[in-house]
Amino acid sequence: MVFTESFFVFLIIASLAWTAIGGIILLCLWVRDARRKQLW
Amino acid sequence: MDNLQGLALDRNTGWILLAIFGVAWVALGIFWGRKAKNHEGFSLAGRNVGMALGAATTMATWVTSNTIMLAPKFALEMGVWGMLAYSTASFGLFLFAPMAWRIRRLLPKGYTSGDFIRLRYGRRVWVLFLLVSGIYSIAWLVTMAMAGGVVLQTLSGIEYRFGMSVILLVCVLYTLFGGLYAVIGTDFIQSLIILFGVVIVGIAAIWQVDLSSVHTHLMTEQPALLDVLMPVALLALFNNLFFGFGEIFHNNVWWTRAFALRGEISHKAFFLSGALWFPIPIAAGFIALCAAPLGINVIDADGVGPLVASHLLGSVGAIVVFVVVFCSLASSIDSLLAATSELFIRDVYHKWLRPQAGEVELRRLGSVVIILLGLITWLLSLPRLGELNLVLFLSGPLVASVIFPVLSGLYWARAGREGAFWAILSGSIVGLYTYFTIGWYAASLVSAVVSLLVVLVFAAFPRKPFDWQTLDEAQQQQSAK
Repeated sequence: MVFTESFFVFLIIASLAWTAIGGIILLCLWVRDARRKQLW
Repeated sequence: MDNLQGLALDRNTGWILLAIFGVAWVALGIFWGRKAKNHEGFSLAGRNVGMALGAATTMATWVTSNTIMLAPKFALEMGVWGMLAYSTASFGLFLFAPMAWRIRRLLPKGYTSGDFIRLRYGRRVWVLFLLVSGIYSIAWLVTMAMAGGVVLQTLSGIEYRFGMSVILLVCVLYTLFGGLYAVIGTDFIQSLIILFGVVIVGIAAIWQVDLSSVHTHLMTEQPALLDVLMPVALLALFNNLFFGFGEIFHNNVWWTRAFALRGEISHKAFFLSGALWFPIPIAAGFIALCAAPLGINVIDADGVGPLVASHLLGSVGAIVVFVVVFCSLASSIDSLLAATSELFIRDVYHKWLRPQAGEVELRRLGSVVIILLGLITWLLSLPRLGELNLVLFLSGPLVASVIFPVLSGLYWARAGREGAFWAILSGSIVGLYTYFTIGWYAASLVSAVVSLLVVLVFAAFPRKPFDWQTLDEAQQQQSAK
């Protein structure tokens, strides 16, 4: 039994999208904390 | 067919990049380090770090150079399961989230993981714990320094010993000047560079290589890499899982973050960092599977990631990987230098050798220990011994033996010091034996299982339940006065 092509493609595309969204989330959180003066 | 030399950056570009980022990190370290007004500020960033910086520093610290370098190697050798196996290391961050919340409540004025072990299990377990933690921390530092030297040589031809030395020197300098403020501040920038750098290389890969053709190529040439039941990869998955638990649960890098984050957000920050970390080994690793369809001749599996990236994006790809690896290295080495020096200063020096030492003395000693740690790492990294993952995984069975003593110590009042001592000792010995007789992919798993059994057996004996109040050392000392 092997990993199917559709799973293989999904895994890679999803991981790239997830990584990019993670970076955007961090930036948004930084802006929020900076506005609230809660960075440190 | 391409080779390493044909795709590398020229040496001058490598040195320029190294100089730019080196100067930037040291300057930022000095800038943020000014916030540290006392030793607590230097070592724990004032115990008030917010969500964005907290999640970023935790994520960036756990993205080591090994993640960027070894994830492609895992993919190359173990296929889909290899990437997924590496991703399971994020589960340690998820599980540490509730632990961080409990740690803040049990030890509101704690400094190190050693504090907890000493107060919970007594001196004998504490000494054993410090030994395991020390070996692991040095092993981690050495593998990262080695990876730094390897990637610089692979990408730009800078000789291994020079590249490794410069990266280590930069990290030592800015940690020395800025303490945890510098570590956390630079980690935030580094985490963004890592995340977006990995995405840029990944998009370049799927732009140039049809993923369907990669799958077809694997089915034809290396079907084992797509095998759902690949035995070695499945063992590696569980081994990595337990290795990750052991690394995170015991190491002072994560405990200092639990103490440094604001109490009400500590668990959320750890959970978010796990979610951010999970896809990275897949996103960074899959490009290795594109090597064969692209006609790249992989001579050194350790350098397959940079090799494919530079093939895909030319010198831009090489620069992106160079910077991402530099950030991964720096974000982990700085944390480890800060946390390990703190473990030595607080646990060995202050609690053991010189209890009367004051804040100024501890702060001064902190600088000396950071320099010494850097020096030891440099000396051990110089000969470039063994393959990267073998060096890293040698410490796996040691840290895996600490998982259940730490967990039961935090949550189970019946867990006692005898059980913890024998669990760590027997888990480490049997795990190391497994490492040399069976292989790295089973050692951590065996160590954790043995350790768990020992904890359970000793807990079966009747004993007085542990009084959790004794963990709040500051409160205890105040009451005693």
